[in-house]
Amino acid sequence: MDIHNELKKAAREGFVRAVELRRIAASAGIDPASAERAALEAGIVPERYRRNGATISIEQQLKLLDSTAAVIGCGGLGGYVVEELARLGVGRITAIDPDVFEEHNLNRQLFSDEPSLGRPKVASAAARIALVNPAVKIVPLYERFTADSAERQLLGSAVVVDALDSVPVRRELAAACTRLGIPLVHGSIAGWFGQVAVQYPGESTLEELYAGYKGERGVEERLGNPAFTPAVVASLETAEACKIILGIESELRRRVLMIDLLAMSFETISLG
Amino acid sequence: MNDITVTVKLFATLREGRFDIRTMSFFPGATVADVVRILEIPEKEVSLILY
Repeated sequence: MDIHNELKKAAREGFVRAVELRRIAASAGIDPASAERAALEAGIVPERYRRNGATISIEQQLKLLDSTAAVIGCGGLGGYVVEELARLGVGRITAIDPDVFEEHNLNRQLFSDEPSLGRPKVASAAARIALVNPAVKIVPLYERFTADSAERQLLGSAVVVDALDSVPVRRELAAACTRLGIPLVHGSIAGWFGQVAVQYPGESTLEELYAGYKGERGVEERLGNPAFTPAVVASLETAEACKIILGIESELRRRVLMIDLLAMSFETISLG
Repeated sequence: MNDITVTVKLFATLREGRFDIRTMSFFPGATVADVVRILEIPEKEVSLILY
């Protein structure tokens, strides 16, 4: 079948609905991502991306579809990051987390619910994303990020998103990203507070931020995390990840954004 | 030499029992470590680590 002809027949005012894309993909024997790619290449926008509007051009939507993002941690931050990357249309998402959902995750972790308690977080993430956007290939890795496995886990990613809950592992991740030449979006949260930074290959931003720190976890151990802080910080991280994929320079390069939701202040500190 | 005027901003939990922003006078050559000492911020809290 002539896919482009079928897409043009199915399109309405430059947009094509998911049900039509599924029909065309099934008829042509291709996967949903290939159908989306064919549509975008023909200048037809899948209806699901209509409200990306002028913010994301067709060329950029194609770039997102053909890109891989790795999200390290699939809890408070990572759940929202995976969800937003998938809705944005990033074609391949590697989600890494060795944990299962526990009851104390329910106050903030997007993919957690009572039936999922005891289930691997990445399994819930994969199930959710399959429902949200079947064009997105999610690769759930029910395992820890380690320096030794970094190459297998991260290579091929356009960007890595830090959604970890351990300072030493975060530093290992930053070192691995430098070694592999992958930009890293860092985010961390505690209570009303959060911070976001971007580290490009060759930079030592994370080492500078956490210089001298000897412990495992930060002030979050005392402050905990309410529902809204991970959502805010994860969204900021996703915005930076989106820009990195699209080749837009991050304003958080060599800077750290300090977020205080109690004072409702956002301040950027230069790292020199 | 005259004292120097410094704007000190504290973030997150460092504000607890202190302030968020204040203009302070310090002796010439004062360092961030001096500010931390005068504000009685425990050394282990200086590198604020979020989770």
